[in-house]
Amino acid sequence: MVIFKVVRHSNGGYRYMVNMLRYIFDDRALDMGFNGISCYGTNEERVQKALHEMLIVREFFGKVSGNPLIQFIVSYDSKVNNAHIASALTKEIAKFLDDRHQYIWVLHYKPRIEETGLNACYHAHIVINPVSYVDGKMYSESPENVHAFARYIAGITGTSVRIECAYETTDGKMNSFYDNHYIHPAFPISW
Amino acid sequence: MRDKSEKKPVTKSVRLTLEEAQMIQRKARDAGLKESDYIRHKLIDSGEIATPKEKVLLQNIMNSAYTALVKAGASEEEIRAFEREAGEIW
Repeated sequence: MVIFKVVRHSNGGYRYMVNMLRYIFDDRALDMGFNGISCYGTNEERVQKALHEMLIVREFFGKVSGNPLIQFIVSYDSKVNNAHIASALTKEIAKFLDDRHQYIWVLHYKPRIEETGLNACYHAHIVINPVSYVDGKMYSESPENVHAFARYIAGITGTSVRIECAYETTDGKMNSFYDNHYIHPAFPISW
Repeated sequence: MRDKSEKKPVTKSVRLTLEEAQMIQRKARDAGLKESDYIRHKLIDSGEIATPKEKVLLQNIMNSAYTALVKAGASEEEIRAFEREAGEIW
């Protein structure tokens, strides 16, 4: 089973963008024996350049304020036990956003055993510029959009997807919901 | 929530012939932009070489070229020169 998290910090501003990009560009993604970073529509070698290129798109459409970034985290289960498989899956999953958004995805490795018995080793951070480079419309984390993305992930991985969302409220607190919401693949794949 | 400074309270009206109006409509559609965004882009960002959509596509080509350069064993100097040129897109 894949865990699919949607994280949004509406009030984080520019500082949140910088911190988030620094976090996902840290050395963990580069210690896998190959480049665990890929970008769409932004520079993939420099954090500052990627940030600058996202801001240019936002400025063009006059939408610099508002959600600075939206982050999707895709945690694979223990069956995805190889960085190359995790990378190939992430590359396919991120294509869902190609048509409208600039994004950066990074693969991280973090072994952990949860109470549920899941052993998620590889997880991907997919960070998008919520302002579309096509027409400037903001990405909406509506249930329809989140479910559509989760269904797409279920189709790519062939396993069930559990959705979790964490949105920052106006008073700065994180509000999590949709816990234990599952999307099942139309065509399950046994790994 | 959109910041107050990003609101656009001013409307400018311009008289156009039917042909001119159709031409703007067609060009905006070809660029994948709304007419207002297209007109703003042409008048205010006239020094810009491309729309965001075109820049994103160019950047993706540059990213592929960068990967190919690195794989081909290009020198540090060649890579830096390439990066400088690629930076011109934005």
